Amino acid sequence: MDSNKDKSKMHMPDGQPPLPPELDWERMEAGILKKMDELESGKTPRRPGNFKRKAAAVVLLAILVLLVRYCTRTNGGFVFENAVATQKQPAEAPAGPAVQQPSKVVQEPSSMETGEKAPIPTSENTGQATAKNGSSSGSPSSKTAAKTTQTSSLKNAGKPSTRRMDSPTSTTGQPKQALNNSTETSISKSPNLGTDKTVSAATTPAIPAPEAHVESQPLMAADLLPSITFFVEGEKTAPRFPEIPIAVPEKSPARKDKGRVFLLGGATVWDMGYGSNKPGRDDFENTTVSFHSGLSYAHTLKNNFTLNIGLQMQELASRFEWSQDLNNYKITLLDTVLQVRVNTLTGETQAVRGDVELDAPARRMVRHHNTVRLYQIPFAVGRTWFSEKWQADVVLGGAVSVFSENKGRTLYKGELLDYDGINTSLVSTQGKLHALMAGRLTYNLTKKIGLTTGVQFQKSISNWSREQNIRMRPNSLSLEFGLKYSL
Amino acid sequence: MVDSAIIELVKKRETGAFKSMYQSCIGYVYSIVRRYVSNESDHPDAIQEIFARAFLSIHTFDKSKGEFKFWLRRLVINQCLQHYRQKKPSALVVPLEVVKETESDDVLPLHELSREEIEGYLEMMPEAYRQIFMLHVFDEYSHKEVSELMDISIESSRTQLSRAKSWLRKNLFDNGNNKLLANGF
Repeated sequence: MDSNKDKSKMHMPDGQPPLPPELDWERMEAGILKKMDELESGKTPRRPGNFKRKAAAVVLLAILVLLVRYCTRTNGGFVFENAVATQKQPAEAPAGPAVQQPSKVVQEPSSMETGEKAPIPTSENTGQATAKNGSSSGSPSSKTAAKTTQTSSLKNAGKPSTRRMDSPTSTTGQPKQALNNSTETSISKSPNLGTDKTVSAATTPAIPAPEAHVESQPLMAADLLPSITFFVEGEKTAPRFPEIPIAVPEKSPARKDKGRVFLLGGATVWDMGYGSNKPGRDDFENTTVSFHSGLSYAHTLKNNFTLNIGLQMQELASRFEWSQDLNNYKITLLDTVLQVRVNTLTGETQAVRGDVELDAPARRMVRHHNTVRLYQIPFAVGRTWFSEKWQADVVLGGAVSVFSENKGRTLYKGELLDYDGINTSLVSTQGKLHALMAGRLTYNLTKKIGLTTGVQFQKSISNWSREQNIRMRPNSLSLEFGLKYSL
Repeated sequence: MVDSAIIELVKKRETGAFKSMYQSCIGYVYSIVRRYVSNESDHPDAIQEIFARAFLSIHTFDKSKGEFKFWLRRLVINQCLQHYRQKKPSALVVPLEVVKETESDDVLPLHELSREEIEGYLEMMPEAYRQIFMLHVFDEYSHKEVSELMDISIESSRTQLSRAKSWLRKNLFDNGNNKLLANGF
């Protein structure tokens, strides 16, 4: 039933109930005003429904405040730098009658602070200033400053200025445009180089002349104070920021490194590298995926060549799988029914039990995880190429295994042989020389640290085998990952 | 009800205008408040809250959208319901009772009752019924508006109104209000 159709709808009978005396304005006024204060200050209990909305608003407001503060801080840095430039200029300007007028303009902020009125030039002077700028650059040495001033005049034409000279104007209530014009006029009328330079630095901090570059001078606390005042007193118009020269980062900061340290590790695949004559055990030994890790140092030479040396550990693993049929292999069956006896008269059955020994087919399976652990000193010459944050290294050299460990089980002359030691009767792995070739690709996360990946190939030059007529020169291919640290 | 000039002065936070507006509106406000807030001791506090909010939010009043009286009435009712929720947050739970829920199109000839009689019945009516009954019958809120104000479904608003009418019908009969019964109520 819609309300419009509700026939029972009606108003209360006319006439308002008599007001109790406690509802008089005199008694209620204080309470109402107090509640108004509470409502305005937000002390009233919050409705749970609005809480989330208000919390979101507070969060947004906080983010906004942080952004504003961040922007303000950035702008402040700009103002400080220009303030230093502005304040240092009068000291550099030569004294003399020609300098007085511009100097006066530059010193206006301080005079305004003391309550003195500065002369306010008329806006008509602006046109004269622009016209005279071209002729004021009489001396060759003054060309740069005059050019800067011209640029400033052109850029500032028709735009409200927010620079330092505006601040006193706003405090004294003078029109801002007039003061801007006065600044330009003073510049144009000064024929002296020092004057031009001084005023141009004061009025055009955005485009500093090469001679007036002062960014390397340290900021003093006393220098900052006037500029802080300026910034606070500045007009509400958004300041027009100068084109601050940004230092172009080096394309390849790692190029100047003295050297680089690589910490690498990864997986290795390898093979035994037998010659034409293979030992009988070769049929039972299969290489498996192994691992290696190492620390190497690449010392930078001329023309991005490097000298590499390090320490590396390689564990070459293999799997020995051998089986043999066993003849005359007997098994014993215990408590086996040997015979069943049946009593013909009674029909009763009886089982005769005993142990039985039988010949059975059997196979012996031998599986073993064999390892050859090599501790090597790689030495190599490399070449590095840089591209932005990437660098590529190619290394060519060798590696000597200074220490080795051999551990495993294999077949030797038809018999199983367990070995565990530096050198076995089958192989000698210590003091062997390997040819080494590697390629690495590094992504520099920072100037110092980078992520590296690469491949390394080793081929043993020395013969590992101690058996006659058997040549064993293993080779390995490693995929490695790690870190690079530039020194 | 209130002159535009006073409203403008209230917007400017003139204390004298506060007093003028208060004295012009207190009777109307009180008549609504005493219907929605049953506890008399809560009336001053509720009225202070209402006028404080009215003075602060007077700038939202748009003359082109309606009279000041209706703007104020909505504010008062909203505030009364808010006050009611704060004081008795669980009172909106409607007790289960056997009531015939078929909504009747019967006319409720309440205008034949005196103010005191109506107020007497409203005071006796269960809180949950009373709020919806007053909103719908006296303050001309639609079921949709009632559902939004009371934070209930439209269907619940319809049901509670039906129950309120049934309750009122039952009590009028029990009290032997022959005048209403004779009119077919």
